[in-house]
Amino acid sequence: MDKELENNNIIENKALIECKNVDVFYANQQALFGINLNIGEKEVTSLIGPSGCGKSTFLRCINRMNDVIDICRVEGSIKISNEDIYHPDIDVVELRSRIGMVFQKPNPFPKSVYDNVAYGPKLHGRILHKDDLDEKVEKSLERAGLWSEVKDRLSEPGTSLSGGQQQRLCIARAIAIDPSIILMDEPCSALDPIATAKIEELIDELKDNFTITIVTHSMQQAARVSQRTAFFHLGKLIEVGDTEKIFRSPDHEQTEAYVTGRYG
Amino acid sequence: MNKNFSKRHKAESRFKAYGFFSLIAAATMLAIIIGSMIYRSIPAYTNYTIDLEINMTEISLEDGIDDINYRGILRSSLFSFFPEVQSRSDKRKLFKLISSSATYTLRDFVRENPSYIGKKFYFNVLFTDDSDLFYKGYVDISLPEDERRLDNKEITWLNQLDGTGRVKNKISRNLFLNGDSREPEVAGFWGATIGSLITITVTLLLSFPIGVLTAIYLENFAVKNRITDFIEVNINNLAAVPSIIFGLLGLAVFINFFGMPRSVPLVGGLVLSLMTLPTIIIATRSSLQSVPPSIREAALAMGASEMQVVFQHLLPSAMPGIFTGTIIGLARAFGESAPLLLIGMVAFIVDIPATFTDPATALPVQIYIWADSPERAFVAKTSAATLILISLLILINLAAVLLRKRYEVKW
Amino acid sequence: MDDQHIVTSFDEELKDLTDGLVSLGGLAQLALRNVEQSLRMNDHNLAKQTIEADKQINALQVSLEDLTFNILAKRQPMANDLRLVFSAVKVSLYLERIGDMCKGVCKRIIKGDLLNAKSPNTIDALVNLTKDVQQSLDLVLEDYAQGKADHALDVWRSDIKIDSSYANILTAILNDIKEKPEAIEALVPLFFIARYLERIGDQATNIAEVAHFIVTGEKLGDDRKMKVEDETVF
Repeated sequence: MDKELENNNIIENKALIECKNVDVFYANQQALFGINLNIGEKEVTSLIGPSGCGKSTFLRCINRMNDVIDICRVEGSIKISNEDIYHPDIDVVELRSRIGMVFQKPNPFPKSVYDNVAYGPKLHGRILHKDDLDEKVEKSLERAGLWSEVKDRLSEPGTSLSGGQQQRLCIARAIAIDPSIILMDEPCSALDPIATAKIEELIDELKDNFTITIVTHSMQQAARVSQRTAFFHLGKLIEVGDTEKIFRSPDHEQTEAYVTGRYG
Repeated sequence: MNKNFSKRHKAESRFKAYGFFSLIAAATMLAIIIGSMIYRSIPAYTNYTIDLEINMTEISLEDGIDDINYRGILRSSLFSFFPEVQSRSDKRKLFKLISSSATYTLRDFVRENPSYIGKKFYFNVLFTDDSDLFYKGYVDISLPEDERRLDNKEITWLNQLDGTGRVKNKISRNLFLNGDSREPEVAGFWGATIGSLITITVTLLLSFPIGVLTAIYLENFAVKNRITDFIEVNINNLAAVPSIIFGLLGLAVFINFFGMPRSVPLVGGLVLSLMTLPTIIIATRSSLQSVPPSIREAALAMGASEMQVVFQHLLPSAMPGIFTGTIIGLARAFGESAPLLLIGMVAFIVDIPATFTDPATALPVQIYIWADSPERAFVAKTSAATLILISLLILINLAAVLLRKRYEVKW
Repeated sequence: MDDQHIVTSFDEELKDLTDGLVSLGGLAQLALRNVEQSLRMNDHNLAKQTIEADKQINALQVSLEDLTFNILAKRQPMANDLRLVFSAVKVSLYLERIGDMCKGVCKRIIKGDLLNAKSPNTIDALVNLTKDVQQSLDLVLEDYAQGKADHALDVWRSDIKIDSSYANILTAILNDIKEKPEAIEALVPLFFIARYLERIGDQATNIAEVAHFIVTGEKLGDDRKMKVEDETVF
């Protein structure tokens, strides 16, 4: 099995994120066991698995969101563009400014639509002129497919939008900082099917410019949006491979049992 | 089955009835208290006065304004109504029917309006509290003479004066604009109100920033260990400590150790901030906790530092809760008297305070002082002051509601 | 497929599908047995019955198609379930075509009179070919019903034998035509019968490939498939 995993992991010259032997502990409890996973550049990788399998934990290792939890410890190496992100010299704030994240529940700030999107660029002091900022906001909203819906409502609070719009606003907010990677933690689990379809369409468009890693509970969604799929179970990476292979004929029995709905 | 359902429905309607009756009971109590307070305070708002004819035709400016015998002028004016009163003791008794403050108010009036010197004019003079109460019908004439504050002679004089048509019932400006006084008809609660406001300002300026910063530190930055746990337990404990203990602390530390002056709003404010701090800290912490963690995560993931998260996201979202907590704490401090008694803010102070270090008293203490005074007229004043205190508290709480509405964040 | 789905009704629908395919297979087997007997005995009545029975096969195939449609719409099957459901469509079509071809053979039997061909050797060869084809079909259906692919390769190989028998029969019939031009009307139907039987063999091979795909998720060698297709073209 290990050998197969190795083989599945090879993405010729395309890996943007390389994870080697990543272990994660919450106090004394181990949550992830030796994860070896490469994530290809400018493609969508989905992480699937039953609840509590560690897929979200793994996602949060990539932008070091686990640092916030005192009892959480990460071992092993995670490299982004060959740079070890857990190296002591790495500035977490700077790292996160290169990685966008979208959460399960749409969480726009209780500010206007405009300020939500402008928050990142202003925070990092990258854009100083008002005109440039306006342009950035418009462009980000456009890329998130939201501009036409909110262009007359920029000063309304972000929380007044519908659930699906809020989630796309969060995506716009994330891409406004020009990240190379976008992490999505079950971005559609609180949305209706139409809003979900819009987000999926958006993910499909965004993958030309961003490396996207998405945690999802919906296998159909993983099958639809991603090029590669990794299956986690009980803190271990069971199988990773081309999405089509995982959903048509996975190598591992556990993967097959999970994707066909035999356990979970 | 059916029996079970009807039993449950009955239990439910019974429960609703209990709740409704408790509400009625509580509302009735409150109505009785406020109603009786209003009823009892009615005599405090007005004062009977008499227009006395002041004859200054034989006086000129050269006599010196301060050296004029105002008292003599008032006496002769009053006595002119009663030519038959001749004995010294009767004259003294007669003059005591009008307020002793009359001499000073006349002097002050003439000082401000020297042009009246050399003229004849009418001057409005207060009656004493006893005469005032007689006119208002609070003196029971059927009682034996020696059990009354006014004897038969005085009552006859008052009735005679009433017959002249010079006696008028006027709104008591003194109540609203004066400081304390030994004479009930002169005493007012303005001094105490200002004292209270200065004290509460000191409390707000000290406890709000300290409380909020403490809460932020404990909530977001402090390492969770035994020391912080211990501090937390103590803060919660302090919120339940009786206020008089804070008074003792203030007396020992601020006055005896640091040598600060007694009876000043600065020390009062310091003591009250000690008392308010735990409330503010607890309220701030719980409103910080009530900000959805997803907002914090969103900001962190955008690359905000911990401090930016706190000041750009957590604090603005928690503001309504912090305001409410602070105002509730301040309202409690505003109505507090015990700690102020201990640091000497119970002193008899006539002047209206203007700075943090002027001797002052506070509204609740003023109520305490008046309630303790023997004069019958102070009963109404106590009620009036209490109503004012309650109104101010309602205003403060209203401000809390408005601020909450104004800054409320919808998720 | 021993462990159950979390949703039991999904298991039931999959079972209905497999059961339906097994009975469809049974009908196809019966039709082929009847063909063999009709050929051997020149039994026109049995041939007529077989033609009639083909309607049943068609009806069952349609109902299985409905069932697969519903499963796809409701369950969105994945991995081995997906392979099973998808291949059920294919297998049912193959079986239906076997039914059609049996019907075709029976029609030829009724149309001409086999005895008029005066070629008992060819008839025997056809009967033997039918038996070979029958054996292949039995094996693949057994495999399919049990969710295995044990005989897939055997069937695949035996198809080569069937193809060569077919070629031999064609040569024999051509020779007969040359020798007895007067019997050409009776010989031409034999030609078609041989062709039908060969194609039934192809369908059996196709089913074997499907069974192999369900179990392994991999397709049997493409070169072989190409060859089969080439031959069926003419």
